[in-house]
Amino acid sequence: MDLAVTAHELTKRFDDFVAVNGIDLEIRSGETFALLGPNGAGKTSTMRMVSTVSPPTSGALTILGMDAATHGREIRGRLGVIPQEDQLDADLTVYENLTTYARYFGQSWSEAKQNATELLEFAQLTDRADTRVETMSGGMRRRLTIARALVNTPDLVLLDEPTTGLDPQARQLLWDRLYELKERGVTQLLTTHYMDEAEQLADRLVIMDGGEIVASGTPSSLIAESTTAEVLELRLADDQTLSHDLPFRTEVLRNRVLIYADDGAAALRHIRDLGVEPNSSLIRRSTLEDVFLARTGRQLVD
Amino acid sequence: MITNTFAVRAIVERNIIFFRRDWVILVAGFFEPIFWLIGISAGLSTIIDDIEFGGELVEYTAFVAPGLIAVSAMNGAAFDATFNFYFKLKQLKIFDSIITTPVTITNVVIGEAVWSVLRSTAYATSFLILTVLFGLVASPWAILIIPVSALIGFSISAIGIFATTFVRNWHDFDYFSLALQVLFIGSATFYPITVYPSWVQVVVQFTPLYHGVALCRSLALGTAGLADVGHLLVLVGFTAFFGWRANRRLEKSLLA
Amino acid sequence: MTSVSPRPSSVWHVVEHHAVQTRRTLQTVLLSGFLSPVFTMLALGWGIGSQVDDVSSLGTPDYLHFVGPGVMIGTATLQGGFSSLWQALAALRWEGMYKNVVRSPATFTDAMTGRLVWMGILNALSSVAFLTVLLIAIGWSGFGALLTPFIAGLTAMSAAAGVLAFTSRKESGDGFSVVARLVLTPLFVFSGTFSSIDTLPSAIATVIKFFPTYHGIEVARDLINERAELVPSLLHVAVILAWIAVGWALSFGGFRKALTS
Ligand SMILES: Nc1ncnc2c1ncn2[C@@H]1O[C@H](COP(=O)(O)OP(=O)(O)O)[C@@H](O)[C@H]1O
Ligand SMILES: [Mg+2]
Repeated sequence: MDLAVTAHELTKRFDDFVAVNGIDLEIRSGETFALLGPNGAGKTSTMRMVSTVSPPTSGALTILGMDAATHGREIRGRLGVIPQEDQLDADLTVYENLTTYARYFGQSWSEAKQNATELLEFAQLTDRADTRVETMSGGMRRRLTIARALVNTPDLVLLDEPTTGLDPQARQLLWDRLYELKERGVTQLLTTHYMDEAEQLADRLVIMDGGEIVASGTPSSLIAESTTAEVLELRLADDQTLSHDLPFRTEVLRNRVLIYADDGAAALRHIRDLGVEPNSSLIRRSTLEDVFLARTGRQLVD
Repeated sequence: MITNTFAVRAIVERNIIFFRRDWVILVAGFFEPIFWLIGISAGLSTIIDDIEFGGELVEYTAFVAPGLIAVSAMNGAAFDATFNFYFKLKQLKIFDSIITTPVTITNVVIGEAVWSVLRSTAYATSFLILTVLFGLVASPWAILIIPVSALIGFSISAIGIFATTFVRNWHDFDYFSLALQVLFIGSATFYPITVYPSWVQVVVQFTPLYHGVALCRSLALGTAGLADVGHLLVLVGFTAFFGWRANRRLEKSLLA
Repeated sequence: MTSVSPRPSSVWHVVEHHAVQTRRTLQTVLLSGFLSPVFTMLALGWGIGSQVDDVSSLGTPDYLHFVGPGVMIGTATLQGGFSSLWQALAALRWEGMYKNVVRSPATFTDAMTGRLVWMGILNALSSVAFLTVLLIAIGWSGFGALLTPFIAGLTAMSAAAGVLAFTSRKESGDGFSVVARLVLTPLFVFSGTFSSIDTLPSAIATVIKFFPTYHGIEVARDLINERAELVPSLLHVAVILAWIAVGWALSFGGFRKALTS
């Protein structure tokens, strides 16, 4: 099987602080792989190591068949990097951002211009070609950043929190673009702290916390292994407690109680039978958020 | 095999693309030393007869003009190597994304330096042409002022980028303005270095512009000699040392 | 409708506001308004002074007596003019200070006047420091010298007012470096700073007399050299005041638009 990225015991330390603590990764060519984790989990540190701009403190890292420690330049020539913060060239126009970037990969001007024109189309920014980046919305900037990362038709695209801070519509538009990339067979490594994003986009994922991998698998296998099919969410009145011994795993959060059961409706009946009448109740299917909670005892996003 | 020239060229081009819109700034920067030439030397030449230089008497304007060519080379490089470099590094953060491409930090440093040197050389060359037209140049060696101004540009650029890696916020550039003014006025631009007490003369040897002024002056007045080889070597030394240090410091901060 | 003529108490309020925010400005003043011109004055005064063959045509005992007041007023022009570029744009468009001022009983004219008065005070103060060095270098030259910081303050105000007329209409810094390099630098260099303007090309000498810097330098130089006469000095000062008035009036519309809409 063809591997785009292999990391073994990959570690990143900043002085005494361990940001990434000996993680192992295997990312297959053509798949979309996600690092899911809360802020500070070490996702960006990992991405920067994979993009060869941050030397690992220890561990082995092979990218597109080359050693990251010795072949940084060759590797970067085949990567597309979408950093967490859009580092677009705010002094230039949309079109100039693409052409100058293409030149950093050694493309000829005619190649650069042709690629820029095509990518503007892909990112649905053609009518914005001559706009200065400064004046664009967050969603448009993000699409431009993605277009820019594709200028060298990369074999591996790294996306660090591609949709954080975007409104739902802009997010959806971006997901469509990423889905199209996937259809083209481009390997994608993305980070996110949104479980729905990981579920939507990722073929496989790891959940990171505190610099370590706490779970890995496909979205559905992780849910199947770590949690129940359904979750019952209850909101109780202030004076109510759920002190009963229940035949389900429960998590008491700040403003709600989660009850894990394969049949949520049955669980709700069981609780009502005990004489507890919640203010509101909701039955939903389990998500990666629940997996995270089960593995770490904490919520993914507070 | 990817070679480095494309990377350096791409960094230079990015500046050209940017300044195509703001070309007025480039042109405006060229005038400053010319104003000083007219403002100081035109007036003073009526009350300063001649200056003794290299054992010969030289008309005051002809003495000052080549010094101001060196100044124009410094000015041409200084802004891009400091203020604009900081803007790209900390405000636009474009270097962070450029280094995720095959372009390396060393390519960035060299590319930015080459761009500021192009500006230096353009200013100095235009100024040189003016001084020739005004009959202020006595020697055909003056043509070498063009490569010398490039070297001045490189040394100022290397020192400027190095110093910029220490900048914490925009207010720190007040120190840079002061330093540029001190170099401009104090590098024996307007009077011979022998005016200074000997300890000041020693201090001045450790500043870059003085060597540029001395080189341009002896080339324009046709008095170039062995001492000028020394001046050249000092400028090369400044360029190499500070260029190396700047590169190291940027690698440390950007490749965290 | 509120009055648009500035009220002294409100203007003073704005001045105080600037004064307490001035930690950062203090660094700029110390480096660019004091150390830089002191170095320029001493280096040129002594350095060029040692080369001058014919002092008598300067009308001063030596070159330092001549160039000192020139650099003092030239610096006031630069500092006043610069303060009306990026700083003024930021204060007017991006920072909250003046917006808060006009929400108080003070008006936009108070903000504008307060800014200019503050620039005058600030530059008069840095000129006191500059003057101290100058007097140490050339010796006590009579009480007239003590008036020069006042002239420097007025000149700074006039440059600030003139440039403010331009900046108050702008929403971005386009053209600022052109103003700095093609207006303020020539004012510094050509206003008779380094030699009598009669020695400059006559076109420059004619044009420069329309600007305040030349007049400030003439008065300051006369004061330092104990040769000031009342009527000519007052005429010079009148030109500076006229610039302040015109700059003020031309900034009016821009300030009103930026702060009251
Ligand atoms: N350059 C750095 N120096 C010191 N600490 C850092 C640096 N970069 C990241 N960290 C720390 O490493 C941890 C992981 O950060 P990061 O990889 O950015 O996490 P994530 O992207 O998952 O939010 C955080 O606690 C962060 O403060
Ligand atoms: Mg991150």
